[in-house]
Amino acid sequence: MDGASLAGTFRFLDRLRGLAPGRLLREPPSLGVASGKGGTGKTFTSVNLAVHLARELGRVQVFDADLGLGNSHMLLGLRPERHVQHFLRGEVALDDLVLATPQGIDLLPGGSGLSRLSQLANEELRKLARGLATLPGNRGCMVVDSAAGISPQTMLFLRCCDLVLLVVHPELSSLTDAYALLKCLVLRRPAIRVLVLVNRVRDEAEGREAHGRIAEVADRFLRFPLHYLGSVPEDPVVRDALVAKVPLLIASPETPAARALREAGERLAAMLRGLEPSRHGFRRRLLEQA
Amino acid sequence: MISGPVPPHPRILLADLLEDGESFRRLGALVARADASSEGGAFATPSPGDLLEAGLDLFEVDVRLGDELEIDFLGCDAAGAPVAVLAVAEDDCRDLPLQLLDVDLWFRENAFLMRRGLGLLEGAWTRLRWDLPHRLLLVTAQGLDPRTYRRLEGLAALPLTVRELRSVLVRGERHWYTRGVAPWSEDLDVVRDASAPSVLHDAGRAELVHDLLARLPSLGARLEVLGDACHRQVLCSGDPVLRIVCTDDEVRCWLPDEDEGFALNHRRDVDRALDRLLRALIQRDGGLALPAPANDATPANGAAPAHGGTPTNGVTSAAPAAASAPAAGEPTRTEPAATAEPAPAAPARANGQRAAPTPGVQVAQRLRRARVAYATGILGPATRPKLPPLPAAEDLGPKLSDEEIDAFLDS
Repeated sequence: MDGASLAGTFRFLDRLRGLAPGRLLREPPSLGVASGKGGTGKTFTSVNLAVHLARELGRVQVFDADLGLGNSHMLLGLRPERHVQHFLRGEVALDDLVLATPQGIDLLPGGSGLSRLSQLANEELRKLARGLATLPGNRGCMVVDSAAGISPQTMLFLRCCDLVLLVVHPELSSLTDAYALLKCLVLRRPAIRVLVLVNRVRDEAEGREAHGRIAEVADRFLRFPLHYLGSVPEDPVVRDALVAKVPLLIASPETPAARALREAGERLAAMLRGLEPSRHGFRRRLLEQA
Repeated sequence: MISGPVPPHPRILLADLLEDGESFRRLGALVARADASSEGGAFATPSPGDLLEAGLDLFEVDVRLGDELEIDFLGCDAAGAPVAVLAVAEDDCRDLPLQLLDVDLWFRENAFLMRRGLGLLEGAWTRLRWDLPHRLLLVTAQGLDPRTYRRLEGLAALPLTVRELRSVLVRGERHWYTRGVAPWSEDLDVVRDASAPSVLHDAGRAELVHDLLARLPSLGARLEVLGDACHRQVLCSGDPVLRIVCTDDEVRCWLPDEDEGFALNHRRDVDRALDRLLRALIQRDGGLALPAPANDATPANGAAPAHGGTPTNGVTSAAPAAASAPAAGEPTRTEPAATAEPAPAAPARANGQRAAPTPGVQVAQRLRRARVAYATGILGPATRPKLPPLPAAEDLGPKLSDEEIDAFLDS
């Protein structure tokens, strides 16, 4: 029996368990969707952008990182029986939680109504990171739908993304909260790229104005460039789509809000195409930082 | 004062035997390995592993399992089953039960990965068979405190074999051999008549409940099962330590401090439930502290009268202690007797030395930390429980300056 082979196998297993998956995986680019304040339409945006990105880039993995209060599954008309907590308790593999949808989305549900999940212990985060590292990596991109606010867990997930999309409302409180989140993020990862999508605007001008306000403050105090992705107009059909539990791009693709989302999705897809699959992506960063 | 030679640590001795065949011969291990191919019980040239068990091959020293676990040797037995070997002296025994549980858990959780990993290698690993259930082999130094062995009796649910490393001096040459200490299965009063609840329509789940109840006694004495077919409580000294609820289509278990509990769906869930319960019992009873000595008024672990209520058709009569037991799910506040009472005086050893006294404050602190770690419901390494670190300063909040807020207000 060869001792060196044994040692090699254990090292291999360590990698397999997620300690250094870079040699095994090339990760697709990742997009974190965030907001400083709840109710800005973050999940709505995530799901609809994911639908569009799946058309443009291939299957998209959506990780509902709003652990404990996730509702991406609702917007996709899914009812998962198991969620991240089942994985953390060792009852299922993370693979078993992933729900594939006909829209090209593989959803990893985050669990709903479970306060415990919103503050995972370090050991649990590490276990989750390892589980994510073992998921298949051949996706078009990964969308991380994070929780609102600046909790350490939320910031950890966002820091690990290649690109972060801030979803804001044009109101002052939403903008200041988004800026606070941005400041948190930039302090820990200055090189991250951040985009802004202004939701529920009266017109395009209001969206650009809202972006201008936050971008100006970010430039002045953080010396940080904040890119404008677009704006989504207030549209009553959004509510209908939410009630029907169907993504807007599927339910009413020709409405103004859907068109705006599609345009934003096209710009986003172009950016993500520019990011090559990397050995140092979301999962790897999460493993290192969790 | 005349003192004898200091025996080497079993780990060092075994490593010597394994790595250097010359030292194996020089040390003169008393090993007899029956060669199956020869007739009449002829003895073949022994291997170092044979010192511990006939046909045992040890291949690797100091093997890391995952992040924090480490075993002293990895090998396989005559059948090819993986064997994790831990060699311990008296000083290593404080965390030993939890360490063994961790190793057992690691093997159970990673057997699949190991099979996959080993499948990628060619040529080697022809003997090691990960499809067979793993075993734990504990090699102890001679003269280990008997109370340490009694603490291990509670681990009868594990595939554990314990052998004590001993030596004799023959014509000035030291010879080594091992003596079997465990398993203790013959000492355990295993209850076999625990019936599965009738409310379960799923025969498979009923079998799991039956299995769980039947294996409870292997965790040690002082456990009793109260309740009916739908709702049972496992009590330890009157305190609830496990709750089992059966509904039409589900069996669910809760440990104290657990919100959601866990379902019993497969055989491995039963293993997991027993593992969690055993860990909880070890912490609750001050598993890091030593139990009372054998001559104590309290019957020793495994003694028949000490066993709690015996499940009869799934229902037992309530013990008087149960009357004061907290409600199900309520955290247990009762301090275990083993830690509340002063540690018993260590017995004098043959060489006049005394065993190290039971640690007091440090153990209590460790137990508190362990409880915090276990409240998470994660089966992490129990020997090194960690408190969640304080968040980094920048995670406490961005603390927007007045100028930044003014900038928004003015714009």
